[in-house]
Amino acid sequence: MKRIFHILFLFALFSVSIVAQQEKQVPTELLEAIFEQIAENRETEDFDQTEILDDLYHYAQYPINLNATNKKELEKLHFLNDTQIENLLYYLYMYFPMENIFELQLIEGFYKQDIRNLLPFVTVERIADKPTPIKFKNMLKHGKHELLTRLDKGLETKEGYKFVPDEELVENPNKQYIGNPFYYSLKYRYRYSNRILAGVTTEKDAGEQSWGAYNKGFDFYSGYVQLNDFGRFKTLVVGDFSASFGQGLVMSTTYGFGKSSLVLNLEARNEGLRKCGSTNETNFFRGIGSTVKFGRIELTSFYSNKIIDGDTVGNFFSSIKTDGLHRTINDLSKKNTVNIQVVGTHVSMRFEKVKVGITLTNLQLNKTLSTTPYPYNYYYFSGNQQTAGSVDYKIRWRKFSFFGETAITNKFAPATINSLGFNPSSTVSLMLLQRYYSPTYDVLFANAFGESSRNNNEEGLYLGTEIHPYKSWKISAYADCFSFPWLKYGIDKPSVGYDLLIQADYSPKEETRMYVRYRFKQKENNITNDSTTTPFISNYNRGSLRYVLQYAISDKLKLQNTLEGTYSQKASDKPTYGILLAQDLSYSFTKLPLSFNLRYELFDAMNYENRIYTYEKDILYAFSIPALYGKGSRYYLNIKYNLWKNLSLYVKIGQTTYIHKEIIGSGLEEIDGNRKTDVRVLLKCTF
Amino acid sequence: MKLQLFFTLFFSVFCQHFCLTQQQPSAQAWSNAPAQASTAYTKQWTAYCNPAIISTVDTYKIAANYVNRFQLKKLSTTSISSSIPTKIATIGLALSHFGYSQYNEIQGGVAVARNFTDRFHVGMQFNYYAVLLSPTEGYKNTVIAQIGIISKISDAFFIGFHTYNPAQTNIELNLTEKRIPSIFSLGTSYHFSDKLLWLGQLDKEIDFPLQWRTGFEYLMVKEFSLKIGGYGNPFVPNLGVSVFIKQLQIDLNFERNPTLGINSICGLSYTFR
Repeated sequence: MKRIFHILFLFALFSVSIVAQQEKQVPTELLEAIFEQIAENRETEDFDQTEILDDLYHYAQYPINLNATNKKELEKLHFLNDTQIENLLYYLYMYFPMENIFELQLIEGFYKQDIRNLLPFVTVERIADKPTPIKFKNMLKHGKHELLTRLDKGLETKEGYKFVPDEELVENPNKQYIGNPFYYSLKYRYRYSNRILAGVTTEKDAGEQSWGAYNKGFDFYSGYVQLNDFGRFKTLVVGDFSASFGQGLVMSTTYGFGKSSLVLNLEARNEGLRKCGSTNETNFFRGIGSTVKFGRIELTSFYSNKIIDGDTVGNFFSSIKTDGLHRTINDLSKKNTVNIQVVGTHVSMRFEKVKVGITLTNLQLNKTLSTTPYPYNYYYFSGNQQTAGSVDYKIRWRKFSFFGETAITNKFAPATINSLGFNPSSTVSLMLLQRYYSPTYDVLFANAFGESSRNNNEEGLYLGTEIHPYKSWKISAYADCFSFPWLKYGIDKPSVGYDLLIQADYSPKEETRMYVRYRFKQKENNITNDSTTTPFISNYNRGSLRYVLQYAISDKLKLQNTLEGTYSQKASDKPTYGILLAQDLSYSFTKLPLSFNLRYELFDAMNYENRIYTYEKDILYAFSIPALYGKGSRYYLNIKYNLWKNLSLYVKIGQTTYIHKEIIGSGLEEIDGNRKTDVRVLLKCTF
Repeated sequence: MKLQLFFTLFFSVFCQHFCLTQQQPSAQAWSNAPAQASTAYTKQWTAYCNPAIISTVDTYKIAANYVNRFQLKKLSTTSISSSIPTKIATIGLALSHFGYSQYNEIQGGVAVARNFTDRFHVGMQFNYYAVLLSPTEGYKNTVIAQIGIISKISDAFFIGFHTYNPAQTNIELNLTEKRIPSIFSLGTSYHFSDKLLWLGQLDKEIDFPLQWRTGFEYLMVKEFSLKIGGYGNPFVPNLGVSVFIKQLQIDLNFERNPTLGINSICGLSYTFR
């Protein structure tokens, strides 16, 4: 009775949310929270997170039925932390089935903002008495097909596309790109429930040749078929796939969040095998893999045989080329030069509150990786084979949760990561994480939590907390202290550093949200200046303060204001500053199948150290996070128009204009002038 | 209410150490708003300020404005403006002149603004801008755009956005180019009561430091209001009055630059009812 009363009360309270739920749009502030900080941590604007977008867009279209869900499925909603997932599953265990979506408010750890974030991706429905049997007729009738074709073009002519006389090309064939300036890709996907997934991806980057002496057709092809829950086979995947086990210390080709304002979301997600339909040309396996279930035990095995790019000389190569670009003769000489075979297995055993697993992987290269020797890369992996093994665990006990992984390589290089989560009350959560990756530990497919993108030569301690002091308020903070016992690229001695973040979120109304975030990082770096001939090591400080206000005038019209200031200081140099102001507006028409969003921003960042990463909305399944520095302004406009019931058109136009700049970029990417304009067009067809 | 106070306070004090005097085109009329924080000042539209403001009132209006810089006649700007409501949108017209025979600037603009759901106003303005740099070169001209938004967050609280020359249009000269400022402004206005208004604003020109402004307007009696505020670093205090005689409004504003002296702004407007 009490539960019914609660539900009725919450029904009234959340009546506005029903409208929001019908929209089924991916809340971009979530993507912003995740991606911007990944870009900042990795110090790159170019990284592939297609799988996160795929998951979120998929569940926005086909929401998860909470009465028929499981942990693996909920883990794909990346903004939920582990405690929230466990609490949701516990609630389902106690009160199954859920009667309606408003019961979410009754679950511990779910606050108003969390529920708002969750609503576009979940539903509460009765479970069908009998699942639809897998028959060819049903596959044709109920299967969902999706065809995506995308075209990108920069409007200004880059140096690499300009005319070069034949005589000059003979002398220097890398003075010009071999292909046209268009990027295009074609993706086909098939999904039957969550049981059968198949897809083909093809891509040609700008500057790559589509038809000519060097290449015929697309530059990159990818395909997969994945079957789930067929008899003992939990997963069977053929073609291109990704594999992740434990905390990613030995194997993870999917994304890792790392440090972000989602301070408790540190645990690796998406354990096991999953199809890969991304246009990332490097970070995946190509072969066959399966997960078989025997009661409490799950056994995953896979084999991959793939050709990758490397700058080979005879039987050696010094590095793996990971950008997937084949635009010049020099790029082509590195294309498909190294064969890599990977075999791996993971056994896991799950009990009520404990899960343990063992991972073993081995990779073989047909050529020897021999990096150009420098002191900093003395311990980097070299050779043509590597074996690594690990033990991982997850434990949940009362208000505590533990997870971790300890690994060792065939050269007896150890690494370990361990975490303790504690919820002393319903309003406070804490997360402590320790890691030690020895300088000699360097596993090619490792992707665990860390300050560096490479899991080696790092020790650290992370403490994160999330507090809900009052209704509508959330305080998130972390402090991460780290040290590098050996030299690193750009740091010619063992070094230390720390990273701090504090963010206050306030949601006074359904349609109004704001946050203030301060982040400060101190690291040691090589410093060179006019008075020294050799670099010296000194502190490098970088801080940023951001204020974001989001408000809705109506269901159709939303606005956002952003103010951000950055500061950086090297050694005893004068600090330098950067600032960005942005105005966003998004609108969906009622009478037309048209929606658009636009942003105008103005930036003034003295140098690269003061760069500001800003998440940009984009065409479907895409995003961009340009690092803005210098002085200038940028605008972009995204348009979505439903041409037909099953046919949608997405267009993005973005332009950056600088002052005091006569050229943009360098080398073959150089543009004469101070404007850079990009256009993207995507056509989506579902049937 | 706490939220709205926080906004205005935040806009007023954010990054004060970045601030320096703002560069603006000389033919730009200065607003009669306290501290010239005009972006969310919905009471009155001045030529070349946030064009969305003209759709916040639905009456015909004409106005004249005179700006005198540092008590020098040659550094004065004269402008006239008018707002004309129509069924579809409100039209704004503006014309201004700055300078003297050897150097002068002329700017003329047409604005279109529309009120959506009474909580959201959008305006766009196109200005013809001509400058006489020397008699030998003659006038050089270009077209400059302006875009503005006013959002009503509550009955008492407004947020405004305004950008002047977002496309970064410049004037090409024989050997060089004259840069026309590209300004991004965010402003808030909070009505403590019918009598007391608080404004906050941040302005950023791409090549100049961020500038803050804040000011208050107090309606002392029905016919008379007092304005006080300031902006920048070094701080420029601003004091003004408005007198309302039926449909006629007279504005007088003064500000004192600690280095260069006193600026005065005088405005006269008439509302047709």
